[in-house]
Amino acid sequence: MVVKAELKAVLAAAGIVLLAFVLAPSDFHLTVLTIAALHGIAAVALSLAFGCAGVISLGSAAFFGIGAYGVAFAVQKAGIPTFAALALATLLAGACGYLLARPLLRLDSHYLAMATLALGVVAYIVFGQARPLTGGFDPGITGVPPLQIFGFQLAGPRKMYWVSWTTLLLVCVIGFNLVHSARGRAMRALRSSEIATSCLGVDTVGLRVMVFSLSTALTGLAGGLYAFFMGSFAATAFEPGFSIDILMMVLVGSTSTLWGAVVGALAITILPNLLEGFELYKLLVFGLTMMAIMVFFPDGLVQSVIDGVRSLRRKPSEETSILRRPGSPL
Amino acid sequence: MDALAQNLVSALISGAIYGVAGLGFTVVYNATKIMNFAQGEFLMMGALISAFFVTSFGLHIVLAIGIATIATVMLGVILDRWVIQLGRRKTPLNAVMITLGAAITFRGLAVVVIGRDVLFEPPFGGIPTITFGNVYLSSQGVWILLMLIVFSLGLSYMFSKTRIGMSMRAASDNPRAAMLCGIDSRWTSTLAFGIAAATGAIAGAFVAPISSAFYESGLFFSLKGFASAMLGGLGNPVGAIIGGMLIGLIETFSAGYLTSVYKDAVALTVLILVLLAMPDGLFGRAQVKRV
Repeated sequence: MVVKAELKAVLAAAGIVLLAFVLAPSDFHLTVLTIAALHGIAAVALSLAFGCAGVISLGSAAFFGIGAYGVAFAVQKAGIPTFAALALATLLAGACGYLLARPLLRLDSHYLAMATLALGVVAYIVFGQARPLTGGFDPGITGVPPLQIFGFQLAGPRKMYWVSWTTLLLVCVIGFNLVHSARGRAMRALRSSEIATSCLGVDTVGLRVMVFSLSTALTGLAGGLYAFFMGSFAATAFEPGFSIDILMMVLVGSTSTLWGAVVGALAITILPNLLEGFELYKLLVFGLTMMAIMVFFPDGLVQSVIDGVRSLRRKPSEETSILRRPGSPL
Repeated sequence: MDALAQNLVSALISGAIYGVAGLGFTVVYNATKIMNFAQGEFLMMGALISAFFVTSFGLHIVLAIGIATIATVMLGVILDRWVIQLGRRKTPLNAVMITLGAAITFRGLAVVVIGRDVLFEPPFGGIPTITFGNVYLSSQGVWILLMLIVFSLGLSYMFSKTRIGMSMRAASDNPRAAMLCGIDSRWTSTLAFGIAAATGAIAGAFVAPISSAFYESGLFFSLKGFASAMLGGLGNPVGAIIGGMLIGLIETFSAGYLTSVYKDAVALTVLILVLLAMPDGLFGRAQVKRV
């Protein structure tokens, strides 16, 4: 049950995606936009966990990598059809997330932050060193065949552009459905007061575990698509810094709406391609931005700007819906 | 037999470093209930700044460590006073994210100001290498163990006997009650960050001659320091040091007898397993919700 306004927004986004495809001057631009969409899936997944349930993951890269390597194994070693391999990799990443979150979410959620950070580093070391399985840093995995759905070969940036953006919009629709369901309302309540919510009979830990597992599964899905899109990749693609990039996408956009994550993914993926010499200052800029956002705009940068503009334009007498108040997780 | 003893000695030394990192974690956690993701960056800054001044300007090692400590303490104090305490939404998760941002900022500062080179600091000297039969304890190792002893005695004296230490404990137990007794909990929190930064910077400078100084090393110091603190029971300073020793032991022996490429992965897997199976650590108080 997607709210009408959001359905419109999804359609508008689909229009923009089509327009961008027509206007994109070259395959290089389409490749960047495809990567942005894959990052966007991971960012929306993180935004679901962080924005809705207040559960933070600093190991997105690990789950992204599990998805990518999962696809590569399933297709190359087990000979599973590509589409089924993608589904398997998604499930695998979700199962890993569940196994980690189920015991850990008994604790404060920042223990999960530390554990996922550690997992990201462990996974990176394993991806890089388990050479017989993963190919390590060089050559890594090579020759993953393109994705096939119902006999259609989806190879090259033009077709994968559509696959990735369609998947991203579908993930957004799933996310909106979740946010507006009874569980979504429970999650929003949970974010405000865990004690009050559990008094209402909501299984708060179960809810958090569910969202976190869903989030890791979707991150794995993005990783699986990445494997099909790139064809060959090495462990360097899943370094711990990549998790921070995805976190930055959520923070730059919005910590509370899914669209923010998409905007953030576009910004963080495209901007470094435009700015020369950004690599040297990347860590400093990211770190300062992250601190500034958490101190001054805890709802996310773009979100705070939108809220600010909205409150300027609104007449004081006008009643605002509770769902549209700044800080409401919608 | 000698190999075993030699491994024990090197485990003791790396364990001492992790223990001090865990101690810094514990001090901040006890005073503010914040998990400081930037703790390892304090060690990295201490190592990098002191190594930079020694190798580029030929400064005396004592002076270089002094500069590194002062600079790191300033960063730590700024982080608490003018960043974390300014936060608009004071939830623990926000504070954690701010310290994570600070960790990335410190890393970025190191890249921009000092560069991406791996720096090597000469050993301090002054103490002869100690030998028992075929087992060596390097002079730098002695310095590190001395530092650990001074820090743990100093901090335990401070927390149990001095007015400042007791007010820090009070402020963490119940900030409001402490405030009513005239304790400024914001000041104790800044003090905790200052202590964590100072101990971290000195530990970093002491370990630099052994392990080299590099801008990315802070992440491992953070995670292993946290592993030490968790293994010993979060909030328990003695536990943090014992936890650090255990992490050092596990890491050294897995490198010596299994394979060295997974050395860091083994230590961090221990962290994940501790979190999963015994989050109270060895000497901690129960804080788990059973569900």
